[in-house]
Amino acid sequence: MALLLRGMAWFGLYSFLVLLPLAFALWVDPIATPRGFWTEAATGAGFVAFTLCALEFSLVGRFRAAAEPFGIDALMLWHRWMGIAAAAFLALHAGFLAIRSGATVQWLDPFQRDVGRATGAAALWLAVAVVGNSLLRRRLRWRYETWQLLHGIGALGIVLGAAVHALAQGSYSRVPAVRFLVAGYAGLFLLLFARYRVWRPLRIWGHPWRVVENREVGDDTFLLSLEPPPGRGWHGFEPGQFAWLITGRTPFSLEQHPITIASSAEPSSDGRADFAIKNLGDWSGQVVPALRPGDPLWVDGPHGSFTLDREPGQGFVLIAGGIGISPMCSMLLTLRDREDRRPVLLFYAAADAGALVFRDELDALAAEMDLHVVYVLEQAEPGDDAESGRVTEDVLRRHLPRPYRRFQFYVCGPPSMMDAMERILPELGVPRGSIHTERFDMV
Amino acid sequence: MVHSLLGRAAWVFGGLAAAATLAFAALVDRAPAPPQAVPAVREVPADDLFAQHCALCHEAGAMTASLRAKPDREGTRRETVDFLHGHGEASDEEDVRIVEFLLGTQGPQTP
Repeated sequence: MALLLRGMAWFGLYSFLVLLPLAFALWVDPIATPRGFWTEAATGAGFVAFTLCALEFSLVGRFRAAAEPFGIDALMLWHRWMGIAAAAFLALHAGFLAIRSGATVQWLDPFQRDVGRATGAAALWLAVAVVGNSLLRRRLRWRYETWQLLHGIGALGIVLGAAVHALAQGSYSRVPAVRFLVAGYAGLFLLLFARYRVWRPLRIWGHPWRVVENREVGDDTFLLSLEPPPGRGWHGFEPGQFAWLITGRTPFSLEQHPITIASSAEPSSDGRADFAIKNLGDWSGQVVPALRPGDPLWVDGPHGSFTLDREPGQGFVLIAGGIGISPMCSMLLTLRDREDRRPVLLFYAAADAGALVFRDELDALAAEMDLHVVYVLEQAEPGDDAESGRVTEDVLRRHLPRPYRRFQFYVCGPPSMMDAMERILPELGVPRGSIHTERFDMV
Repeated sequence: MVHSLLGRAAWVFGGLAAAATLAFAALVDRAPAPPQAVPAVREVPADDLFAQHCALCHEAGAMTASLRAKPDREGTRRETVDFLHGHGEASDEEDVRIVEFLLGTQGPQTP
């Protein structure tokens, strides 16, 4: 309940900040004679676009307090949707002005001499480019790090361009308080940007973690064991949480990826943390396999609200697909170490038996705790002791224990599986509040 | 589970922001000014008139430079006022104020 209230408070603050300049402009209303509905609609759309852009960094800046009620992945998804909305409002801003005064191609020229208009046109084009390359990154086959760099530079250009445009061109900006407000939003964006890109890396620069072990555990997956710097280990994390692993020469590197912790959350003497990383691209396919014991890397975490420590349940149903088994491993190991006796049912889906990782470890855990594992293989062979096909409603019905509606459900896997589970589980009578998911496939 | 709701929530939020934008436009555009606050054209600063009627498409500095470059100040003034009478949405009186503003006859006279 407290988390729900906090979530509502954060969302209320976000909505307030998005609409504040609009309300303030309405209040000061410095225009002596009416300029026409479409001109004012253009102004309103411009204000909304600007504030949405300025607040984008607050969504992905890894603020624990704000992320806790929603989950960082949900904030990232919201960031994505609001980026699209901001670009749409920018287009409306230009479109409404065109309705009012007749469209001129000259307006869209970012190299025109008038600074106010040039910066506005540049912000509009940058917004189209930033949203476009985010939606099409995979098709364009850009490296994640390249995309991230251009995304950040583009975002900076949009907010600064829009701010200069509003200050130089906007009729409302002749009121000092409005100018102060516009500058304040731009300043807030720069502050968040600096916190994320400068202060945070600086804070961890002198405290790298070290690779203790890096071994392949099957299906092109590496288990990376990391040791914290002396006196700088985590004071605990929750099973199912993740951390950003940063490789490269410094923590300013763009090579940073969110990876789920696979080890037990119960404190260990050496503070080690394990991360299971499957080859899914340049970084996980080339950089991770090359890591050797003793190599430094930086860890920003723990983060995330996909954890079984926050919801009471009579038992747990874990549904994993592919490398989605990683948070489930952490949950199972933690339950074992805590000697938790509640029943756990694990559905673990993969393409075939060769694609299962941690199978020996899971079978060993089943002997140590109240755990039943159901393997679901798309290409099951006789003797695999597994369900054939995918995790469907029928498969779930066959294995779910009778009181399953009082269990907590955790789902992590490919998007298609997550979508299917979010549809099927409520149909099976599982309360929506008992279904927990995590996805990071944003771009 | 929050993810399946996020897309719908984003559409609702965007729709509400669009509604707020249109409401803003309607309120600002239709807000009747108090009678005593309605300024006569003479009382409205000329640069406000330019911002209101011209600035969306034209840049003041460039227009001023262009008009002042012509040798016949009075002829230029007359021609421009005539042109503006058939261009844009400003009243005839406002057209005169805007041209005076651009030619620099507002405020201190140029030698």
